This record gives sequence, structure tokens and C-alpha cells, in this order.
Amino acid sequence: MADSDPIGEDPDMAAAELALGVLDGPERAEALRRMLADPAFAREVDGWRERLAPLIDEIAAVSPPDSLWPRIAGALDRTGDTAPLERRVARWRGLAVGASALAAVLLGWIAIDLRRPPETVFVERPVLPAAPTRVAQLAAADAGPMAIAAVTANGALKISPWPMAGGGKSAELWVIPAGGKPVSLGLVQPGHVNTLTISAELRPLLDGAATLAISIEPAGGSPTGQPTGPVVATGRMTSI
Amino acid sequence: MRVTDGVESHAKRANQGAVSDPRTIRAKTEARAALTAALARVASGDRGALRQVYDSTSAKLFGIVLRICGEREAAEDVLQEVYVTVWRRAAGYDPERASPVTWLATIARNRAIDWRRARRHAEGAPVEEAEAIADEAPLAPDLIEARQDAARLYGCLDEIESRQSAAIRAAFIGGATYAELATRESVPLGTMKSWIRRGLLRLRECLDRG
Repeated sequence: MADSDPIGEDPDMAAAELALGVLDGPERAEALRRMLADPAFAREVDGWRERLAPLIDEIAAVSPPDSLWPRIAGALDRTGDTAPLERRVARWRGLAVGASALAAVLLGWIAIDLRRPPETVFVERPVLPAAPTRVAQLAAADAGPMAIAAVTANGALKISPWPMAGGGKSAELWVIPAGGKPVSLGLVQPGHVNTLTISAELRPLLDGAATLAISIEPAGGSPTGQPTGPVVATGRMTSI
Repeated sequence: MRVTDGVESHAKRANQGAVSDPRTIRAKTEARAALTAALARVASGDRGALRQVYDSTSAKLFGIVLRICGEREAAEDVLQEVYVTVWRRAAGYDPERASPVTWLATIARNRAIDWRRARRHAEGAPVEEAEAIADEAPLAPDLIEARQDAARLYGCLDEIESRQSAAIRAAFIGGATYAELATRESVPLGTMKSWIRRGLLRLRECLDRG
């Protein structure tokens, strides 16, 4: 551009751009992934959010309708908040794109299953793999989706966490039954599709009211049997 | 609307109100502590605490979401999701990392931006920016960040090129993408990216100096 600017190349401002909200598509996804994979980057994003926070003073407050709190309370009351994914998507209209992406991933997994010879861990399953019966999309508190999980009726759980952790840490997957304590389902490898076989006694925990969570633990997993590190993503199971 | 419209007066107003008397500052510090404490109770499953958070923040967060979504109905859906998210994720809130208002505003902005992006991708058309109609909803004192921070930010925004600072403000408030901002200003995408990146860089230099 014709600017007489001493800075030649634009510097890497991805943390600021993410905090500002100008990124879209792959750039935004990449920045969100960096946020979980790189603690220094995440701190930079936090720093920018604080720097820019005074700008919210420019936005006029608008009272929401009185009917909104009852709706929120109702959403919390709903057993396990298990509105079918499709219905939630319909309400969010535009999120149809996200739903198709989720469906594509699930179909991809099923297709891979059909091509693969049966693995030893699946000795008890029928010849045709069971289709997923429940899915969960795990998201970070202030970022987008971080993992997609699917559970089949015969107790296979597939989960594909985005890259995270590293630095000698392990990512551990937990199921949190409604009103219960987290139960470890094992370690997962971020950046890969993980297949876990859920033992028969744990399977009932993976019902529609359960929440899945991933925490960052010392290498090898939590030493206490309960999450000890930061919970980086959570998501509610949804029956399909 | 061009990004430069209507932002100057806001900046001046915010600047003029920059210095608060110690009593006001103390009240705000207390309000912030109360909100942090309420979030901690939300984390332990206290529904009443969520209601308290809702009462003191919903008008501000609805304003934020409405500005970005541009439609009341969608904004109400998004705001509902915001508080359900707060309910589920309050345990992850770390007061060391962010002020409670910034944390809540970030969730609201992210949810609204998600909706806006998804909708644009689905419909292939830009979302028109809504001019949110301000009502007489009182601005809860805990929603106003410490004025010193605001004064520094606006001081620095005034130091950088006006088109850069205007683009930064418009992006933050309206949740627009680079592409949308470039179209609105009739400049190439690369130019808009440069304005904002360089503006942000100068902003950081200025704030770090101060």
C-alpha cells in the first residue's frame, strides 16, 4: 500500500485479531487452535481482550425481554439439556453448516470403520459396526469447538480432539454423569481420531445427561483419579 | 454505514468521563468483587447466583449481542446460550486471567460472532449491522470497567491514525470480519488488514508505554 510506513511486513497479530473478532474461516480456526496449543499465545489473547474491554462502554445496554430469564431457567431445568442437536441447530438457523460438518465427520468415521478389518478390541462387536447413537461436541469456554465425540451402542467411543496440550502433558477424557463426579475414560491423543473401548460397567454413565470433558494432566494422566489440571473443553452428550 | 461514522463522539464522551472520584472507583471495585464472587457460586451450582449475574449483566450483554447479530430474535437465542454457557463454564473462570466483565463479554461476543459467521456462510449475504436502540436500562456500575483503563485506551486510539482506530472500533463493536469491513470502506482486503494490524500494533506500543 502507499503508506509511508516504517514497518515493511505486517507483523503476526493473530492474538489481537482473534480478540478483536475480525478473523473468519480457516484463519479463525487456526487462531482458536493456537489458543489451546500454546499457553503464551492464549495469554496474549487474554491480554488483548483486557486491552480492548473498555470499548464495550461504547455499546448501549438494552434490556432483554422479561421472558428471557424463564427461558434460560427452563433450559437449565431440561433434563441434561438434551435438546436434539437438529432442533438446536434449527433454532440457530445458520449453524446448519456446523451440523453438516459434524455429520460429515461422523459419516467419515463410519466409512473408515466399514473399510477397516475388525480390530482385536472390537471382538465383541457385530460384523457391521454399530452407528453412533450419541454424539457430543466439546468446546472451550471462550473458544469454538475443540473435539467431536461419538459413542456407539456397543461401547466404542471415538473422539477427535484438536491439537492441544504438549510439553510433556497428557490430555485426559472424563465423563461426568448428571450430578456425579468425573470418571476417567482414559488418555486421548490430540490431533488424532482416538477410539476408546468403554467397559460395560462405565457404559451406562454415557447417557444423554452426561457431560464429556478433557483436562490437561501430568504425563500419564491424573495422579488422583479426578481432574487436576485445567479443563480445556466440555460438551453434553446428545442422542441421535 | 461507514466505519468512521458516529464513533468520534463516543470516544470524546468516554474520554471526558475518564476521571472518576475515589468513591466511584471503590464502588466499582466492590461491584467487580461481588460479580467475581457470584461467578464462583455459579461454579458450585448456585442458580440464585446465576440470577444475580444475569440481573447485573444481561442488559449490557444483550446490547453487545444485539449489535453483532442485528436481529432481536436471534440475539435473544444467543443471549440464552450465553448464560447457559456461563452456567456450565463458570468453574473455568479464572479471576487472575480476566476481569469478570471481560470474561462475560468475551463469551457474549464469541457466541454472537459464531452466529453471525455461520449465518453469513449459510446465506451468502452479509449481515446488516443493527443500530441497537438504546433504552433506559440502567448501566450496572460493575459493567463499567475502571475508567483509568478506558482513558488510556481512548488516549491511545486518538494517537493512531483515525481510519485505523475507526476500523478497530467498528470491528470490535459490530463483530465484522476483515472482508466485511473492506467492502464497507471500499478498500482492498489487504489494505483493511494492514490498517487494523498496524493500528493494533501501535495501540499496544502506546498502551505498554503508558
